[in-house]
Amino acid sequence: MFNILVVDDSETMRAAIRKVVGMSGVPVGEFHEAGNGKEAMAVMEDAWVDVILTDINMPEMNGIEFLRRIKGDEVYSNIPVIIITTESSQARMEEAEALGASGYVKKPFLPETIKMILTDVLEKAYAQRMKEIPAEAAPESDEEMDF
Amino acid sequence: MDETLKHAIGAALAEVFETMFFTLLEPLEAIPPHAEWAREKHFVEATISYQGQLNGELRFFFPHTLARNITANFLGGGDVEVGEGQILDTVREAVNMAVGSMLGRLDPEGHCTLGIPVARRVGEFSPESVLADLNLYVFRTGSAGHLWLTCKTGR
Repeated sequence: MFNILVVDDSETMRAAIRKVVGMSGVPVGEFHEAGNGKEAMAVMEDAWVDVILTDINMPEMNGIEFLRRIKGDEVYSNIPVIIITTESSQARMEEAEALGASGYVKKPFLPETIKMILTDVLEKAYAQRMKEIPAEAAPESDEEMDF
Repeated sequence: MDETLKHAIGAALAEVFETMFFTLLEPLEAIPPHAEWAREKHFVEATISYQGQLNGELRFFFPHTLARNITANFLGGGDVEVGEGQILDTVREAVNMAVGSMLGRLDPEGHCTLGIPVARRVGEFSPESVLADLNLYVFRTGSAGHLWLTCKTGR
């Protein structure tokens, strides 16, 4: 199960993303929401999340600053961050990638796009986690994550 | 309205409304007959600006029925109940996506930044007040009325 944090200043957009994630087949544990980067940092002090989906254009703390803080913090830096935003310029995408974003979804989006990128990001994160587990503690089978 | 801007915002709005709100927009080349929109009395106004190499502000006027319909569609469709706060939130998000998508077409290098959208319900608006605006763009949305859009651009 994966704990998911969605950061967007639009409550209805968060609800729409929640619905899309729910239909994606990804096994969701806890689902957390925040209205901007500052609120998201507060959520993360109280709850562990496995993946973050964040908008860029938000008041208080925008998604780029939030991403910068996450990737600059050794506790959170391995959490994959997917950007979901209207800002589709090449420069913005390159900036997000350089800061460590794992994926980029342009609004408006098709539900399939979120599913594909979320699945891809979580598969990579899962594989990375397995590599980091000592051999004796790893699962016995070659079982792969299957959504 | 500048033809490049008109084309970009028309394409962006069509993409956003079809993909996210399952609503078809028909761009109109001329102001529709008065009888078509005379009954549109209650509106939600949304404004959003952008700054950088291109500067401008767009003002959208959504008939309340259209604003309510796109909100219901966004939240799952059918007879889902929607509150006034959700309607304003959805309208803000709609214009944010539309103008963001427009800028992606006009400014692919990303030199412009998008402002924070603002939406409010207006009782005093009548489409007649914008008919003389040279930068007026009107879309027909079927039974949900017309989406009215004006823009100011600068250097």
